[in-house]
Amino acid sequence: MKNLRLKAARAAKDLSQQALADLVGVSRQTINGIEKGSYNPTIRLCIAICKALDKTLDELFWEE
Amino acid sequence: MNVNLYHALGFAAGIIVTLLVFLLIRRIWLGKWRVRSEYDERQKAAQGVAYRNAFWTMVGYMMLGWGLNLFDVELSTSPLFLFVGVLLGVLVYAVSCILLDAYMGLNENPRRWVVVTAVIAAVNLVCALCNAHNSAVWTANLLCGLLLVAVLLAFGVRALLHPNREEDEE
Repeated sequence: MKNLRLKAARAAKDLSQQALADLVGVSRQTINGIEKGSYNPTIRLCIAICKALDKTLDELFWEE
Repeated sequence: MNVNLYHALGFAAGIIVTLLVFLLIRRIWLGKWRVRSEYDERQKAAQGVAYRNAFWTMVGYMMLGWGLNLFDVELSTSPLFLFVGVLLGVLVYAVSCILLDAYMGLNENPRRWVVVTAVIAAVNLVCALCNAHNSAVWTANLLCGLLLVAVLLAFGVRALLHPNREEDEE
């Protein structure tokens, strides 16, 4: 399932996929995979992304 | 001592000398440019998948060799058969990693890697041509050269299928 909230949060911060990837120490393809839903990140990476985007885990990764 | 023993000793000595020279060059000359590959969690998981692919490919290859033994085709004991099996495993691992975008580390320069691999492939193929009279050397160099060419082709295919655009979304 696509993670549109992550994409929106990243866009709101005016960050490219590469910029976010550099902030959290992964490859751009990993960020792309998370946004497309083709990669399921570990909790450690989720937390790093949330910190980089000033969001909570619920806001970015919790599915209703 | 028979010829086979001399051959085995020469082979072992060649490997040891090559390793020593490699370590010496790396320590003395390339030390300051040495790059330790760093992979993220997705790449490490993808490398596990690639390793599994390579493992089962080699198992299948060995099963094929043993199966041919039933028909009195003695392949599985020949050094060439085993060498090709190892190269096949390496090829499957490398191609799987490349296609899953887990071959190059986060801190590696793909262009440098392609140039170095192309040079090594060319050296192997030239050595194969120069040693056409020696079947063992010719075969080893030719197979290693072809392996590297196949890896380079996989890298090219990957680059064509997934150009490194900023946002390659659906």
